[in-house]
Amino acid sequence: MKELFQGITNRFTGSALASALSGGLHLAKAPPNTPYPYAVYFMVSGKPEWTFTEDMENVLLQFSIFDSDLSALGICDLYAKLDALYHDCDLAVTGYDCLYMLREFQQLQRDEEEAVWQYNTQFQIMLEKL
Amino acid sequence: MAKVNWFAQNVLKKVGKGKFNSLRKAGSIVRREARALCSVGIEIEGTAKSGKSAGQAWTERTPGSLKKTIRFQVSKDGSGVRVKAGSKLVFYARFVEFGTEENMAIPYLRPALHKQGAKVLACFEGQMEQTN
Repeated sequence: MKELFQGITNRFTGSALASALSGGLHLAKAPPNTPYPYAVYFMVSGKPEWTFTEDMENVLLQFSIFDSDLSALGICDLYAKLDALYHDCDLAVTGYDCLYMLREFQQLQRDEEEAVWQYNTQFQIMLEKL
Repeated sequence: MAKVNWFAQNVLKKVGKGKFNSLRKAGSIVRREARALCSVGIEIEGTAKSGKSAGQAWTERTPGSLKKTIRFQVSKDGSGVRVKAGSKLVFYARFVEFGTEENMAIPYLRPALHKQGAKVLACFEGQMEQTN
């Protein structure tokens, strides 16, 4: 799903979220010593679906935002920006028509060992092959 | 004069019994898939830092511990089924599912439901047909 990942990155570039995330957005794992806050995204699951005439891809995608700020307010603002950027958006994916990209759930947790906040969000994406 | 008798209690009883069977079947399907997807470690890692076992191998991290804790629970009122993983000892279940800053996620619960969604729906459809 290289095309999907490219579409995610393209939408991120130049957005309000990109300005707010000083550490950037990374696929699967951030490089060591990435400055906070930053985000990673990865594919949770993907399965093909089809009708008589269309081939589709049903994908679950997770975004995780990491922030070392003691207060959770900062990461909540970042989440709001992420949601505004991707929830119910018209994602441009080469070779596919994005039928929908919808947020399924969100989850805020704190890693006391690393002293960071982690905000997980899952999106469901349905792509129709052109 | 036409008369129709509607034995609501009998119908509800039949639906109710079938509902629990379908929920158990659905839970079982997702649990089986989650267990198949769940990663299993290959060695015992780390030593206990404090407490009675300080310095000793952390035996709770036995390979396969997480897999063994994957289970399902049908709600008492039959409103749903929940597939869950982890316990007090296997506290890291959610870290594996959602990932952490240090460790990439290796999801096993969400893909299980995603993959077997059609089969889960079929459980309830089959039950509805039997009730009719």
